[in-house]
Amino acid sequence: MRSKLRFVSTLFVTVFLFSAGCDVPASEKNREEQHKGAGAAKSIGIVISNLGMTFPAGMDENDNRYLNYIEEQTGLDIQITTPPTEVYNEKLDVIMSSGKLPDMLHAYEAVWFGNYAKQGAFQPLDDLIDQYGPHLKEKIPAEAWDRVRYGGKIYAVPSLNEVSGVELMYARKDWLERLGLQPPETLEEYHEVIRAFTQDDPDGNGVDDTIGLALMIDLGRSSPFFGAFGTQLDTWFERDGKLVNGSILPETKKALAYLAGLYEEGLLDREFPLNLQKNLFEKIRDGKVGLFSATWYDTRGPIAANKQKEPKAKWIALPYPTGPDGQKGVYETDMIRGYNVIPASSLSAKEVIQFLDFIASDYKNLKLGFENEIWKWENGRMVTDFRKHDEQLYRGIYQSLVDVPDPVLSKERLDSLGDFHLYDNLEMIRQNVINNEFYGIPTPAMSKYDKKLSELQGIFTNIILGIEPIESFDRYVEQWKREGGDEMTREVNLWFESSERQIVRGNEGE
Amino acid sequence: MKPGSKKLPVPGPNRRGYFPSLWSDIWKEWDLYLLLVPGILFILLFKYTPMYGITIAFKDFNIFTGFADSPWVGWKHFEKLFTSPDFALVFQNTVIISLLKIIILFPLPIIVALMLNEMKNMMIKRSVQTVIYLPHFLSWVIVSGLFIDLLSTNGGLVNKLLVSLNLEPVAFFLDNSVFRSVLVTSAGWKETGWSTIVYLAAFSMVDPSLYEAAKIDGAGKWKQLWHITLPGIAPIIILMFILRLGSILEAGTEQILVMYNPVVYKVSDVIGTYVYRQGLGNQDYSFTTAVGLFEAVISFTLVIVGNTLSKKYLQRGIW
Repeated sequence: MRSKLRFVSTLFVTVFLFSAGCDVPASEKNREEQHKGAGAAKSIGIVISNLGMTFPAGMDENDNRYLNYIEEQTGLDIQITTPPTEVYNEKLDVIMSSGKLPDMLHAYEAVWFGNYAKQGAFQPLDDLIDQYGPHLKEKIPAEAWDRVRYGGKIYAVPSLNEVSGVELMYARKDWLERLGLQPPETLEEYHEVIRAFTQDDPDGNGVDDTIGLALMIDLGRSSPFFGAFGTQLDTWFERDGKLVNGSILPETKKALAYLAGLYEEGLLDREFPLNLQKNLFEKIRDGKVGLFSATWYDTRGPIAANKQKEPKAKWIALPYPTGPDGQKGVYETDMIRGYNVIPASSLSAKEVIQFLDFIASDYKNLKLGFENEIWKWENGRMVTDFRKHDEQLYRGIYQSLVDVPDPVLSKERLDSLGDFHLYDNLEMIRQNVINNEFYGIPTPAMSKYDKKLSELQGIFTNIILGIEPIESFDRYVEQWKREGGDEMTREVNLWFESSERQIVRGNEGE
Repeated sequence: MKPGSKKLPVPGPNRRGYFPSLWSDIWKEWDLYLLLVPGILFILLFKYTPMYGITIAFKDFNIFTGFADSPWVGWKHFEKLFTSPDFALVFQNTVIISLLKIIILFPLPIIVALMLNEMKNMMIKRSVQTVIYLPHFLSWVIVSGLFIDLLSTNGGLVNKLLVSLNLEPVAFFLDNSVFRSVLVTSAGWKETGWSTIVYLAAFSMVDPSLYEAAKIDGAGKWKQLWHITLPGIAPIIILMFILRLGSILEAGTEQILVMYNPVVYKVSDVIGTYVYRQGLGNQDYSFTTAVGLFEAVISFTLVIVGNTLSKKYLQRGIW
């Protein structure tokens, strides 16, 4: 009797443990069935960035008015995953190596895209675009398509950049006025303003708590100071008929020496290598920062937040710092802002293309927001309801997947956004962009050494902090060349000499 | 039991050695052994099957061609590992940070547990215990944020204190000479309280009559501590130490990953963070698997050696 009881209970426990391990969640089953069902909307899973946007209460990336609108119009059921923005690229790698791939991913890095495309990770899209993407074909120019071709086949639907550059200098105008300073233009004048902003108590609170110039981790927001020396990091320059990388130019050494000088005098934010975007924005909002390289839309972000907190605060766009040889400028952004790729394993490529094509076709409602709700035409001018516009900014998450600039609507839109100088900022940037002379698809050496070479640049921060002497720049250059840089330069120059480039330039018609 | 001592009814024919008796044991108590099956299956499925993946350390692995079709390359990745200047630095950092953590942080919970054990007031004892457990439940991301704020040069508490004492402020997170101390201190703050649990439990194993006997013999608190409590929990201390040795090459990857920055790579880049950056960042899966395998072999050896030495000199081991 006892033994029988023991047997039954043992069996029971064992079976229970087994079934607990092998249970398929009911929802999965339902989804699978739904997938097979004929009438139901076809479901696609996509991985995109939420761009740091937030949703109005009660909505999220999978349930909001714009997504519902897209789903209604396309007849698709779209499942969205948004990895955190700070680790977005890392997360994409994790997903790619996980073996459980979505139907579409949105990537931002040309090298990342090229790497996986060459490994055969994505589906070729030529036929699908011909069949299902008439708007994509119409609105995305040929040179952009050339940049997503490997071995003659298209592997991504590109999203285009509306702007040619991002950053320009902004300063606290009220601080300049209080200290009796003119807006700086030359590097010396900049130096004096940065010094005064740090040491002369520009906010007049009697405490030494201000930062003259704020930079970010990995030398973020430092571009104009490299521009003053006629160089930019990770940008290709033509010197004596050959392309060379800005990261190893002697001019870059000079720019680093200048910044190291500022740091030594205590004029730079002491902890700038720890500044993430969030920290930088906090410091600006709290009125600690007098000068920084702002993005053209920061006037709506941290600068607006600062004005709200300190009603007396005034900001002014400055001319770019001009170096001893009269040079100035800021880095150029790539023509392509993002890459929509479809993993080879996806069975819903057709639906993904339809989804992307719809986004490209509906610039008006998705970029500008619903007409007559967010904006309307009044006497031939576009008028935007500001509060609503801000509330529904999140639509950019979807719209930016296939951004196809529309120059006519663009100025109207920016002007209608009110007093943030967005259009002026962009014009200022456009006139000062330093061109990247390489705009082909990433070369094989780039795919191979890109991460490694950019990690070497960690030494730049050490040089500015005074941990390593400026002379170690020369050692870095040697190492850079040895560990793949030379190979990369050779490949880039092959491209430079090839006819392919001439054709693309010809199309640009500057 | 010595052969030849008084005969007890031993199950099974013990002449034929251990395994036959195991089989007969299973035959007799098969229903109890049946309970083991799910556990064994679990370990086979989730611990042993993935070991197949180790083969990619000897291949040029491409995730899209798969395990089987990637070409074999022999010891290539290990050669790269041992000749890479990066790895020498990373290995050195790992060992230094790990040793610092063992030397400073291993005795700490024992001391704290001993002090808690001597506490008379149960209310205070319990409250202290709870308060020092708590940091264990915070994720490293949060702890790192706390320490960054606390140690900041822009208004951090510690630097304000230094300035008020007329000392130079220190950029703790950017200073190669102090960053490791930050790592050890924050790890101590987070985990010391939690680690006391094991030792507090061990105290209950010590026979209370020993204390009474010692008291009668006139032993004071210190003598009791030294001659009864410590020897009483020695097996646990040794067990914990051997287990800790096994993870000597795991210097706290998660912690370092959220706390370091390129300025302090030189003193804080450890095997775990290096593998993470190379493996995922550069998609160099084969190389990083080689690193991982190397780490595992070292850890395995250390545990075996540690246990053998412990059995030889202290007559105690974990198996």
